Amino acid sequence: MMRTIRKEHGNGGKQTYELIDNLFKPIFGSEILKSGDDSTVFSLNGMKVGISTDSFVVKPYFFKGGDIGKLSVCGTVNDLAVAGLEPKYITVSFIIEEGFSIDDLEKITRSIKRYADLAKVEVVAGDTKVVEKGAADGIFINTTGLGVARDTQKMPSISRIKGNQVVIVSGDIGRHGACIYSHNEDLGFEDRIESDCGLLLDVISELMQEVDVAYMKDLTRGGLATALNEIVQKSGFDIKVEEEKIPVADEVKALCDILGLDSYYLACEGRFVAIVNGDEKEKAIEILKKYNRFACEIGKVEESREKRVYLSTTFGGTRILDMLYYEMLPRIC
Amino acid sequence: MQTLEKANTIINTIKNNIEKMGRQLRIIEVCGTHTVSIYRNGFHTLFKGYIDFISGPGCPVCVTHEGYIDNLIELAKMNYTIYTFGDLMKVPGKSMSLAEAKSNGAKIKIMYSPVDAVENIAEDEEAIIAAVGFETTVPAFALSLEKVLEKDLKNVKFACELKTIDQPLKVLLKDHIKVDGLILPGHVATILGVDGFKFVEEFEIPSVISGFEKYDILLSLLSLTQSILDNDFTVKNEYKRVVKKEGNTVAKRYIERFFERTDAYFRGLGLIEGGGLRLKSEYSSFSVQLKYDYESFSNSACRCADVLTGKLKPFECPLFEKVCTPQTPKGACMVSQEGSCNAYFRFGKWK
Repeated sequence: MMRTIRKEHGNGGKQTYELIDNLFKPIFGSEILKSGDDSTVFSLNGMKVGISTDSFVVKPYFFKGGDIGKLSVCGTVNDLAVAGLEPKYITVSFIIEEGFSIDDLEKITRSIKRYADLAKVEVVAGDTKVVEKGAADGIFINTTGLGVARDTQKMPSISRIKGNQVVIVSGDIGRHGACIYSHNEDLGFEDRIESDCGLLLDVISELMQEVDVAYMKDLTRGGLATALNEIVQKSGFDIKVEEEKIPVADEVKALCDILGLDSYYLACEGRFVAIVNGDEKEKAIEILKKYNRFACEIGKVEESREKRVYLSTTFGGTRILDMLYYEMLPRIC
Repeated sequence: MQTLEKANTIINTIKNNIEKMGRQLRIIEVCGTHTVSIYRNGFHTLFKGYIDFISGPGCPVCVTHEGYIDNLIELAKMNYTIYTFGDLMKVPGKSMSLAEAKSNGAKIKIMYSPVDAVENIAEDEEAIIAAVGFETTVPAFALSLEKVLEKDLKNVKFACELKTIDQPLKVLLKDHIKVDGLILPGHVATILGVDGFKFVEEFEIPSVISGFEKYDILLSLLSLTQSILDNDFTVKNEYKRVVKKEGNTVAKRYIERFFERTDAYFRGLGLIEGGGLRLKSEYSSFSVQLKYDYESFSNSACRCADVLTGKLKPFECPLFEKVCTPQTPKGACMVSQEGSCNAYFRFGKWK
């Protein structure tokens, strides 16, 4: 049977990773690429620099709490930030479908400029392609960012993860995914769920100044569950998180109940997890809480090395919290 | 905190009840949503050694057979647009699923409700609504047919593969399965009422109608273990905030107005007499004729039937996790997020 790309190959879950590991990485063959995080950090003329790229295909283009322009800056800038980099430059490329509103394009572009300014990154290059009606869905944006290390002595790295460290989340999860679902499904939640789309630079800058962070990862497609699974796959350690502690807004919970979605897998665009040593957790949480009151410890890195994420449930049961396997789809009953 | 203390008290009482019986209980949860809730909330580890949870046939996706999927794909090839609930997309047909057909260009659209679908179908579109589900979902299809009649739409038809819960449950309890108690499906009971499950009492097995939240399930297990201790076969209702004795009489009238009983093929269980619903003859012009070859159904190595009847744990199936995964489901129970094998795979019951 002919192998074809399906939607789940792009959802950031298990199949996305299989595509990257089984197709892209072997063909490109780069050792740097193989180390594979969302940002790649390497030495250039004695300087630690990093690069990250991302494409944004969200619909609707304008949603409560943001738009595709804001998202395309925040996404790439945040990828650099969690790698311990200070973003400096960004490129922006557009693929636009014939018939797209120029007024909307202007709004999106102004939004890109606004958030690039807030992030103190300069838009230094770009590209524009227009394709025939039907060849794309409105507008797709790609951004690539370049950053330099904040502190070469304290760079977060997957190799610094070890047993008994504490896993902290920077705020309540699932808002972006829930917001997009609510807009697309027209369920009357549109005004209630605001995306968490936002820049993480200030909070990460302060955190890195005050705390020696072992590792950070921003939560994007695939949500908390997929991010944690990626961490256990790369680090080799297990992670155990506690259901009771994971912050989810009531309105996000309600939408999940109605549509049969799982908040652990919903995308975030302004949240990250940080892994720190136990003696630093209080200081770290205190800093994170200044930016989002829901920031808290959600679990621990376990000494065992089965590469699993375990979830302790409210009443004391345990289950595996796996990667996203397929598109979350509304169920029959 | 007080709630958690109460929960712990209930958990201890359930365990005490079971200890009094001196053996592990086999309890079947008929409905897939219960299966997921049990695993999602870790009840399988919480009551390890006390309760062996068995997943029943109440997941509409799991019991939909490949012939139906093949029919829908054939219809899509004939330029019909298929409207379906999202979780049917992954069910494997003989050669492909609806999701694969869609990625190859077939016109397949996901609906949240058949009524919405009818509202949104374009005038120039020849639409087929995939009518799949148990009694919970049937009233929605009845309402959508009413809308089709009101609007006098000629371009909308239904591919009916609707199921009833009573017949497969009777077959299961009579011929296939030995259990100590049943957790009955709260969604279906919302429509059929407690009265709709009275037939279970004839089998002299304690049962409880349960909601889906973790506290619902705890209270239901408490009620069920008490009934088992007392040899009490009365159907208990622990979902009183939603389920009435007589059920939803309006919804039942809608079902009776548009649908009648028919035999139905259940993936994993085979052909069950009176196990399905079809459109009444006066509405047959809105029904798509589906063609089945029952003989050719089911992957021979797939042990879904044994899983659904509690003879086998999912991980004992030779296909489990090797070739049968949520990404590449080979059989009924791995297909739906509410299927037994799928829940084992995702939430790690085999650990």
